[in-house]
Amino acid sequence: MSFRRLFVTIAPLAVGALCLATPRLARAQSITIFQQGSLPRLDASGNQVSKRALSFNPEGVSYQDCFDDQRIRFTLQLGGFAANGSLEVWAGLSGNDCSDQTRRVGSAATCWKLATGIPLQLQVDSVISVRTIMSGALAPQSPDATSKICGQIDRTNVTVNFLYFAPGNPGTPATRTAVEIPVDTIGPPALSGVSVLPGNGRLSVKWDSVGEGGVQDLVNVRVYCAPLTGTGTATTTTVCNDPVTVTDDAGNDAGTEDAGCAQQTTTKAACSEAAFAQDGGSTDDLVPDNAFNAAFLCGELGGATGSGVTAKEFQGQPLANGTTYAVAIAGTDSFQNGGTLSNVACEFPEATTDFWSEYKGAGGQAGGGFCATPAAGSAAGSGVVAGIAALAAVSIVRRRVRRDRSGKDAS
Amino acid sequence: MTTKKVLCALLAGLGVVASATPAHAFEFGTPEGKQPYRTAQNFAFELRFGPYKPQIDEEPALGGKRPYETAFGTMPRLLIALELDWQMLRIPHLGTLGPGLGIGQTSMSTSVKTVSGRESGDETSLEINPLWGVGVLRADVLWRELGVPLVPYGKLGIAVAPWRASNSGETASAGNVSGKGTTWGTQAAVGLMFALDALDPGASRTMDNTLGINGTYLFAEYYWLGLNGIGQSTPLRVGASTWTAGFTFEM
Repeated sequence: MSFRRLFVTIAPLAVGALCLATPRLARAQSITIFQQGSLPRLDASGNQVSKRALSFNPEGVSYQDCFDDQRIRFTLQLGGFAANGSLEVWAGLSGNDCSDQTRRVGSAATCWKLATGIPLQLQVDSVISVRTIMSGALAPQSPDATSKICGQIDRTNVTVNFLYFAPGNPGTPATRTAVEIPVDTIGPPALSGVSVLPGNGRLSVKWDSVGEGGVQDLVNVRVYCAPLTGTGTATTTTVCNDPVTVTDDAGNDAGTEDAGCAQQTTTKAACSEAAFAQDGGSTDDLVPDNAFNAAFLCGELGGATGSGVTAKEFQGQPLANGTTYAVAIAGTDSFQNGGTLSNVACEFPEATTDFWSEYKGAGGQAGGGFCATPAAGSAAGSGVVAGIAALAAVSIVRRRVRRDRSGKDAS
Repeated sequence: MTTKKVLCALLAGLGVVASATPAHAFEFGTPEGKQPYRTAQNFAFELRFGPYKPQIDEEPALGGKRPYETAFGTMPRLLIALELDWQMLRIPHLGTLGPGLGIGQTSMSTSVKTVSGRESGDETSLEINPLWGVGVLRADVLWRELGVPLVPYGKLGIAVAPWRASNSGETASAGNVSGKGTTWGTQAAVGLMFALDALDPGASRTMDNTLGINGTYLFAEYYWLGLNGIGQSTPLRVGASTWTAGFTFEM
């Protein structure tokens, strides 16, 4: 067969095949998610918010994210869609492919709907609240997108499915794109064995060591303090703010206490977690979130291996001697979720008798700073010894030099 | 004698050394030996460990009260120190003489009670960092010329010690007087070194030829660190008279 005859035979076939294939190529659909590795977060008003630091799972959804009703903006680029097709967003637990219709509807559904009716454009934004994304994590068939879902979902991944349905085929999507959203809204379990010892303007807080393999995903431990006020038992305590004057009162003044001390009667509430109640006094929902931290945080220990920390400040002020504080701790996980509050211990800071106060109280005269000691008089013994040392050094050197010189001259 | 006068005397001494000594008059340190080969010897380095209990309670103003012992008890604490001596002069048939500088560190801490007597989480502590500058005479004639591996020595000079009393990590304060300061004084010491080189002369020569360490010694020393204030009216007496021991390396 000549080349010309071959061309005449094959060319029409090729053209026909191309004509058949072209419409199919035109109908190929695609969904691309921009910035999939770092999806923008919006607050409830639609303003973009800053995410957590990289070490705290910024792409994940925490209790605080849920409580703040944050939203995630998915910017989609669509290709090959038909004008009367549809784009739906579904979610399922980790890796769940919602393409199968039985996973979306019916009694065995494992996916829950996030959004429908997204306009089909070349580029479109789909903004979905984190509550909606996690709403069906506990019960896919009856999702709950209210604030009640916050604090209900422990560490899991939610797969967000973007499904494009071609016209005339609403059951099976023509194309699917998915993105995984990590979710954790439950902090570490309560730490135990909290005890408090008083200090001068501080409280020393200790707890049972967690140890390796104790509490999973414990990043740090926060200490919370709440002054005990309100109705309750009247208590009289002796409060001394100047430790120098308390050690020996005999003959110093007329009272039974030293002049630096005073009897203080206070009425305090019972030592319980009620001290940490906000918003009407309910203790049903004591979650150490941002508002709780702002109200009660008084100390923090980085890491999971320590078992104590000193609380020094409460709301930007040093802890007050004589004020009784309820103290509790809670762990924080890698999503910055505050954990369950520990048992509550109560104590009040008080001045302590350290060495320096003992020394000054006994009449010691030193101190005041590295350059503060006045040069008055002289410690004669030390001065004489220092002088002898200096003169001896000079004398020996001079003698050696003189001898070496004379030796040189002689030679 | 005031601090100023002491410093002037020392500076004058240094001036004599620096100005009145032509380079060809004598050689600093101990020259190298040819047979067997020994490197030149110029320095001695000491690692020092010993008990330390400051004489704070001996301050006359305390009137017999013992606040240090009340807080920290009677048990001495460990003082760790380093000293570097320049063995500037070799005195024939006697030993070496030269200046030395030392620095040490010791601290003590204990838990305290509140003023009403309750257990507390606070901890009181006292940190002392003695520094001294001394003239050191090491009479190594016994070892170098008679083969007896003992080297007696003596030191004399001045010392200073910054100190800080703290409560749970923060500088303590009482009656608006902060618990930190500096105390000047003197340092005198006598000691005896045992030449470990006598146990293995071959290893000693190898160490000299490879590392430049002429001699290694085990020493014990008694010293009087008289930190009771030169030119100071209200010093905290953080000095001590005590012993120390350790290793000396001559280089």
